[in-house]
This record gives sequence, C-alpha cells and structure tokens, in this order.
Amino acid sequence: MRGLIAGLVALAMLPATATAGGFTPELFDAWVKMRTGGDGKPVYWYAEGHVMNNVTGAVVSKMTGVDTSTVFKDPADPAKWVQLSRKIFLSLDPATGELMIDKATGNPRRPIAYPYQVKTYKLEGDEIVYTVESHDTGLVFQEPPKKNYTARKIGTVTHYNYAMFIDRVRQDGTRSQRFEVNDFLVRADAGLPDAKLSEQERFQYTWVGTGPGPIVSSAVSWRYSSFDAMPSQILKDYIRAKAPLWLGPPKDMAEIASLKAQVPYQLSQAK
Amino acid sequence: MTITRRDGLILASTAALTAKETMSAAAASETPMTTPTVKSVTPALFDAWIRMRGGEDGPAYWYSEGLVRSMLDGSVDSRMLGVETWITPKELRTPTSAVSISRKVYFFMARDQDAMMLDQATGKPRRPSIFAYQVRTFTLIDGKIDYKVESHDTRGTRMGGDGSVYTVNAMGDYVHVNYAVFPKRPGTTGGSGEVYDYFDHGPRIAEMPQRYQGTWTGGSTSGQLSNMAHWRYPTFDAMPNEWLKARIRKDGPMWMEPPKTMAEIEKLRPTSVTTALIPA
Repeated sequence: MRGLIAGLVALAMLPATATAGGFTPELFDAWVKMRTGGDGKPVYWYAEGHVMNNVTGAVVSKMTGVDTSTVFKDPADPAKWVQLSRKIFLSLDPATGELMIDKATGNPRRPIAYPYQVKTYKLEGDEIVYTVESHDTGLVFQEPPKKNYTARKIGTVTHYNYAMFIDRVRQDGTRSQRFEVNDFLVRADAGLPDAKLSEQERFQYTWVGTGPGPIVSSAVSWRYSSFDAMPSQILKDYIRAKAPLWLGPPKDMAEIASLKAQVPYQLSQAK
Repeated sequence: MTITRRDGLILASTAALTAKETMSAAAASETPMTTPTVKSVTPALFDAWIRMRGGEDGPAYWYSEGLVRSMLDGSVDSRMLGVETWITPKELRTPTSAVSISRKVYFFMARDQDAMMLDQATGKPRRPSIFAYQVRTFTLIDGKIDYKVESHDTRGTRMGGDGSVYTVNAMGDYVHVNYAVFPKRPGTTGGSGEVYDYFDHGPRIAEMPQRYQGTWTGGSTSGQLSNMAHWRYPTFDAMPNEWLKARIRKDGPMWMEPPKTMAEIEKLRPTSVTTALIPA
C-alpha cells in the first residue's frame, strides 16, 4: 500500500504538460489578434497548396486563395469576439499554373467560395468556445458550438491548432464530408530585438484537408495587411474581374443578413 | 533564357536555372522579397532544406506534440508526444544530394495527463509509433527533390515515400518547405497521405526552437487523423517534456540519439529490435 501511495504521489508530482485547451487570457487575445487583426482593419490570409490523390500522391490540381477577415466585440457579450470573413480558392492546372478548365463546360472550374463566414470566439476556462456560420454560395449552415482549439507556447512561438469535421447535405442532395486540421505558428517580435519580422513571417498556418473522396489537400497561408500586397497575380486578377465581393471581408452584420438572403449566390464562370 | 513566370511564380520549366539566376529573377520581379516567390527547388533552396532539418554538425532533436482525432466527429482520442533525432553525415552530402539518418518514437498519451493511453482491447499501454532507424535520401533532379526512405519499425524494414511532392518557398532569409508522402503499408489499401511543412525563420533568430518548426498531418482514411507540431532543439536535455525524456532515458536510451553511421544501419537492418518503450 505504501508503494502504491508513493506511486500516486509521484504521479501527481509529474509536471502537467498536457492541457485540454491550454488557453490563458493572453493567449486568447493573441489568437484573436493574429487571426483577425484584432482592430477592425481587414487582414488577408493568402494561401497556396496542392490537391492530391491520397493513394497515389498524384497532384490533381494546385490551389491558391485568400481568406479575409475583420473582427469586433459582440455588443451583447463583450467577452465574445465576432469574426466576419469570406474566402475563395481557385483550382490551378498543376502543369501550367493557369486556371483549371472544366472539361465539360470549357470554362474555368468553379472556385470554392464562401461569401461569408461568421465565427465567434469566447474563452471558457482554458478553452475557446467556437461557433461558425458559413455561406458556401449554395447553402447557409451553422456548426454546433465546439471546444476544438488548443494553444501551446514554447519560447516566443505560440502554436494554435484546431480541426473541423464537416458533414453536410448540399442542395443537390449529395453529402459532403471533410476533415480539416489547421496549425498556426505565431512568432512575437518581443524577445527578438534583432529580428524585425514582416507580417507574413510572423503569421502563418498550415492546413490539411481530406476528401471528398480519396483526396488529401495541403496549403500554407501567410497573413498580409492588404489585398494588393498578396503575391498571386492570377488570384488578384480573378477576384477583381469575377468575384469583387472577395476584395475585402464583410463590413458588418447588415451585410451578412443581406448575403444570407442570397442563396444561391451567383458566381460568374464565364471566361 | 526563357523564364516562364506567372504571379511571381517560377514554374518547373525554369529548373535549369542556377540558384543565383533564379534568386535574381525572383528579386527582379515586382513582388518584394517578403512574398513567397521561388517554387522550383534550386541548389540553394535544396541546401536550405537540408540545413533546416539539421544534423550536419551534431544531432538535431525534433520535439513533437499533437493530437489524434476521430474522423467521425473530430473528438480527441489521444495526444501524441515524441522526438525524432536526426543527422546528415557530411561524407554522404553533395551539393545536390544528402542522406539523413534518424530515429524516432511517438507515444499515444491521455489528453489531459502525462500517462500513456491504454489499448481498449488489451488493457495495456498502446504501442508507440516507433522506428529504430529511418534512412532518407534526398536528390535534387531537374528542380525537384527526389525522396526515398527506408524505415525500420523495430520489427523489420520497408521502403516508402514514393510520390512525394516538394515545394520550397523563400521570403528573404525565411524558407518554407512542404511535402507529402504516400507510404504503402502492409495490409492497408486506403489512402495514407502524410503532409509535412517545415519553417526556417532565418539566422536573425538565434534560439533554435524559435527558428525552426514544423507541422505534420497523417491523412489516413482509417478513421483517425493524427496531427503534430515540431520544434527543433540542439540537445536531448533541452527538450521541454520531462515525462518524455525520463521515459526514454529509462526504457529506451537508444532513442536519445540518432544512428551514427551507415554501418550501424547495416547492423540493425536484418534484425528486430527489442525495447522497453514498447509495452510487452
């Protein structure tokens, strides 16, 4: 018995490096500022990556896109942050870098486009309570509140991680199932007196998504402070010409309400 | 010389450019150097990748933490916690090729405490993901990294890693590497792509774990998705998790460092390896 007690005491004294969410108020604030800018000014998360066959590794397409956000505090709950965002991702031919052409129509393949997402974050204990409502041009849907975020700080680098399992029935009756995981690596300038890091050096994240079908997709994103600063000309040209809504994030909840009434949201697919 | 350029993106057809020419072409574009510009892998970027992974002047220690989630609903099954130790012997290095020798172990842990997950079927701690060695060969061919890996999971060896796709981005002295591998595991038929991203934030950042990080996701279709972040450390002792270090010191000191030479690999190759890191 003495040995058992000693063992339990020893177990209890082990440093608890594991945590449920790992958030402190400081790490929560840092998350909101990193993801959204934190001050109401738009931020642009520019992304590029690959879509691959999950068995053979063949590159099905390349992708490039942007997720642009702004944020405000919920007037009804000052502890809750509300992120308004929208995102669009283009498929690119892996050989040429040009827009992928849909063989059936001869037009560029329809992008993955979300006219809006409304995400909320609230700290509860050491976890974020996260909600998201999304408009994917064909459907508006809400996810149940989740506690799916973790935070871990090592030195001046903070690692945030969250995953989403998406399971929804689309307008055409098909079921869409995807699993997505996101890793954010955030460097602070503090403690690095000789390292004036640019915004895109400080803030980046990696994303991996599975499905639909035997597909795995991978992208890396860097944060930029303006649309023009992003590096992909083909993306900027496409948005300016075909999808100007995605030049910036939604401005306010009135715009969200207006978009919510536009289902389906029409995207031009003409050349 | 024809340069096929679009969106600040240098396509693979420019692979014949030298590193200097390619970097100059990138610098000459309207896109400032603080944007990701270089896509085909030059000798300079190949070298940056090898140096990022480390182990040329002594072992590199890539400490890892992550989560295993159910693909049914996203719920967390367990944590992953482990280390990969790594060397790249100078005698096996050329400007366009490198051989890295490594050893790694990742434990499956309870989410909220430093204790190993129990296997529901056996009631024993779950077998870690463990390799007595891995030998990776990287070769730069026509602007692409050809990748081969031999893995010894303590029971035997296998080859894998075909179908890899490497992308290297440079922003000033910052380098990002993305690649995916699609190992074919015995007895499995579904997809098993694994995606790796590594970041070197440049020599302005002196502290090794602040300068070098990585992320990994195993996109298995077996019902669970595993995902970790990595930080590079200069020594075993410098790593942050006391449970991990104590466990390896006590039960698997072989995993405190990488294999030292190919002679050690050849000795291990035909054998199975017994270690107390694997529950009996």
